[in-house]
Amino acid sequence: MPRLVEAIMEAEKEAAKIIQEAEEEAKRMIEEAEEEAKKIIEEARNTPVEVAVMEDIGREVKEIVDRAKMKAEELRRVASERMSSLVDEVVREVLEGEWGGSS
Amino acid sequence: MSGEEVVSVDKDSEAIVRAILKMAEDRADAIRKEAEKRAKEIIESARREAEEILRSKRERAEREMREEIARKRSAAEVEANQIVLMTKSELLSEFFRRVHEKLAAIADGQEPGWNYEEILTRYSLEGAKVLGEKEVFLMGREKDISLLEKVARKLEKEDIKASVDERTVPVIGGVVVRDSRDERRYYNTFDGRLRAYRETKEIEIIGRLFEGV
Repeated sequence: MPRLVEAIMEAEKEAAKIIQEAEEEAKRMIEEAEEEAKKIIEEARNTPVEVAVMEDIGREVKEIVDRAKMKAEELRRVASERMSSLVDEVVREVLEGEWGGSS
Repeated sequence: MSGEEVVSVDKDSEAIVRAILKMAEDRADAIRKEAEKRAKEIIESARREAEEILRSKRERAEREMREEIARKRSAAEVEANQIVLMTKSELLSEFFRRVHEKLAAIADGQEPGWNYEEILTRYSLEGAKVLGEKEVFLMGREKDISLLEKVARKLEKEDIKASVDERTVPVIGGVVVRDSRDERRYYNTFDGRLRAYRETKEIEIIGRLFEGV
């Protein structure tokens, strides 16, 4: 009987060792996973995000300003064509119209 | 102990040992599998979080870009409006500068088609009528004094006693008519007429200058 007890005690020691090794391995696996998870998240935080340029705003801005400049040129051209006759007309109205006098 | 008994004990102990070890290995396998499962969950959760981080960064970057585009477009539109408004303002000033210049030329007798003496006569007569006075004084530019004296003589034909005031007024042209006590004045100057005209008709002039553009 003592040999049986001895054998069981030996087996239990061996069993405890097997389980301990498994637990250590499990702990290591989880630690590695946690480490890997940290890296994945850190990498995402540090990854520069590229946004596709939706519109060529520089060109659009230039077009808006250029259109305004063209309109300004057109205003100058039209105004200069009309100015002389309108000046004569306004001078006549100023001098002959009912604008005179405040007492 | 007999030989048979020894063999029997050895067999029993072997079976017990195997059973103990088998239970331990099963337990170890279960621990490893659980750990593998947990590790996989940790990684998957991290990947989801990473995707969420990237999605959120992308959204923020896109929103910032849209805002930047809107800001630049708005600034360009403001600049465009300023270009147009400044041009209109410049041209309107030029227009009234030319009107002013022409009025000055008329007052200096440099515009054929305009008789300044006749204008002064009309304005003086109008002033005297508005004031309702039979005796008035005429004030004008220094260089108009002799013309105003002629006008005064013409007014006498209309039964109005008119004299030229020694005091002059700094105007482009025209006349200020006052009563003999200088209590009432009637301003009929080119400057005043132009100012009144501009206050009333500027919008119409802008429309006519720039219509259709």
